[in-house]
Amino acid sequence: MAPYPPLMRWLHWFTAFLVLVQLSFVLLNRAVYEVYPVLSEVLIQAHISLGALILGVTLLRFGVRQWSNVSLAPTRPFVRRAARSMHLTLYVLLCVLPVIGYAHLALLGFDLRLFGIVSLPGLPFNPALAQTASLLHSSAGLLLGALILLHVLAARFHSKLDGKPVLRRMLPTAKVRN
Amino acid sequence: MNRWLFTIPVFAFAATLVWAQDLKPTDRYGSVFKVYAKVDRTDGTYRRMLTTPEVLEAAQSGQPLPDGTRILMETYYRPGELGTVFHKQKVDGRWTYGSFNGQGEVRLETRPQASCLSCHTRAAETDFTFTKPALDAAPHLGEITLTCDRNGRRPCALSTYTVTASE
Repeated sequence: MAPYPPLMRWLHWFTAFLVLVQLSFVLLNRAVYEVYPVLSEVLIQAHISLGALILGVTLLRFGVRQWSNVSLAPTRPFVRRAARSMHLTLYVLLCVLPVIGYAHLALLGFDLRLFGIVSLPGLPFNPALAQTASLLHSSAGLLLGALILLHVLAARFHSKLDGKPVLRRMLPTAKVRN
Repeated sequence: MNRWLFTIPVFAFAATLVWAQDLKPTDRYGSVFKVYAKVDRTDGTYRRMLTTPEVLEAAQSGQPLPDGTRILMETYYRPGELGTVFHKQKVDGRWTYGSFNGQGEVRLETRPQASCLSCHTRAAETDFTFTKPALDAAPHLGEITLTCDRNGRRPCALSTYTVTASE
């Protein structure tokens, strides 16, 4: 089985790194917001900017995936369907989470600036909708975490038990056969 | 009997006024603030909530707080040892947030802050102020003590801030 194209592999691991950073920022913020409020604000502002970056990287990755015509490992039809659904859900969540997060703060009249430079358009003040967006953002974040765990376990399962080297196809060191 | 029916509410009203007078004032922040609530945690840490007498007078249950409202939250990780003091102020109907340390040095400038707003959204029903029920009740019941069952610095459950008639 051929490895994934180098750009897709790079984008995959870059996304994984960004998601890990996002999660660590959220957890760290909970620990420091009272004692180090400035750090807390920096973490949340960085969380917003990195969220936008994840959205961009995910859209690019989806485009590369479609363009590269990547095929899944040959296996039973229901496993392929499950894998496709899992991948699609991960793409959707990685796109939707930053948008909901943006809506949450924009609906409260907050002026969002990405990396301190790019101003995002505001939304009409609507606290009730902002509260719904906040709940959705937290729930979608938890769902994303659970699905990533499942994604990692599935990759391990296919590599170790099913005999399909799917993890090796995604490793940065994977060799492309000519 | 009729006399008692009349006397009891008058006594209750008078007692309420006395309790309201008992709210501890402080001018540490350049303007007179009164403590309207204390949030105790199981690990011995606590937070004191303060606002100005004008806000205590104007606050109405179920109604948003007026423009210009200032609220302070003092954090204490050891009894009597003041940690970060959080400040929020309502400007043109929107909340701005800031903080300073125990020595009064500004840490976070008072303006819209994403870190504060994102958490306070949970209290949207009570004008983004978790202790609004306590603020509404304090002029009648005196300083309200609330107990949070989460230790450390984790945000408390919303049920922590409910004020019952027996407070």
